[in-house]
Amino acid sequence: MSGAARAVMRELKQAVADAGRNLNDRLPQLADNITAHLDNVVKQVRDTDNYDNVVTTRGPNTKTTHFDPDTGRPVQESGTILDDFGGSPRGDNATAIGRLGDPGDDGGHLGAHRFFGDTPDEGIVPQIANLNRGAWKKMESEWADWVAEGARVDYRIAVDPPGAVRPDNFKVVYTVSDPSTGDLIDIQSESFANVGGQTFDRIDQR
Amino acid sequence: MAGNVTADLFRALIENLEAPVVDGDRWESMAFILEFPGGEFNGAHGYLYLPDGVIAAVASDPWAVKAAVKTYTDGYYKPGEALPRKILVQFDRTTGKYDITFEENDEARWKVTPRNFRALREELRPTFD
Repeated sequence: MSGAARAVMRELKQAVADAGRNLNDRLPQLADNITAHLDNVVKQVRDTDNYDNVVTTRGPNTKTTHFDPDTGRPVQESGTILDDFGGSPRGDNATAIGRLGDPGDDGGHLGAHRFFGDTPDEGIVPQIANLNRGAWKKMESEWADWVAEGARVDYRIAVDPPGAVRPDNFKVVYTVSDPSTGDLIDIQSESFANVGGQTFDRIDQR
Repeated sequence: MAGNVTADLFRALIENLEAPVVDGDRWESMAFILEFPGGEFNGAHGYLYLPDGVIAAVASDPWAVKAAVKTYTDGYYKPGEALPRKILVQFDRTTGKYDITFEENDEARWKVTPRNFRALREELRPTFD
């Protein structure tokens, strides 16, 4: 459908109003379910009893990586970021872990090196270079932009399949909040396939 | 049919929220931005507007709402046709009115930033005068 046709459709105010009334009948009950869904998702961990975990801290930043004890590979990682340390020498096993994946993979840090420094193996995954150096890096830069403004970033990264040597997908949920008040500024939930071409629209600080 | 697809999209967005909202069931209106970076859906986020001026930032599970989003866009875009950059979904629960805006080109539109987040959440508040 062309943009013009869509514009016409959107001008059918009466039809929209009718449909809206119908929606109004259908949606209130949905609201009753909201609270039940609103666990603190950033802290939520699936089936934690089945997994081991490792904690990494750097300054005020901390993260917990849950991993499959059989494979040593991550299932989920959650963390809090209050400071950005920028670039620093790397001494972890990212390169070796990247080689566990496909040709063209990097060893990608679930929680960026700029925030947590050298990372235990469980927090690094084979990640296609286009994603690691593209959309994923842009997302990390966005987090750094928020932190530079004094905000706090909490995140949870789910790995799919859980514990896979080479993940197929990642889901990242992150919140931006004011650390002085706790007020939630923003929440985003993004899906990334571990293939080329993934994009992330980095914010413009200005 | 279109109304049902739209209602199903709204339902999916609400039922699959990933956000700590206090008193979230009191929301009066909502605004969601569906993101299609690179031509594929990868996220939905926005705000719930509660009484007394309270605005709650929210996001939906992209894996959970993906099917509803695809069904909705399939109604407007032919197979192979480029999807929009973003779709803004606004719904006023108190009046039942809604509006859906397609952004075909500007990836920066409705982007939340440290500088604009206060103004943006008011800009996105549904108003149907």
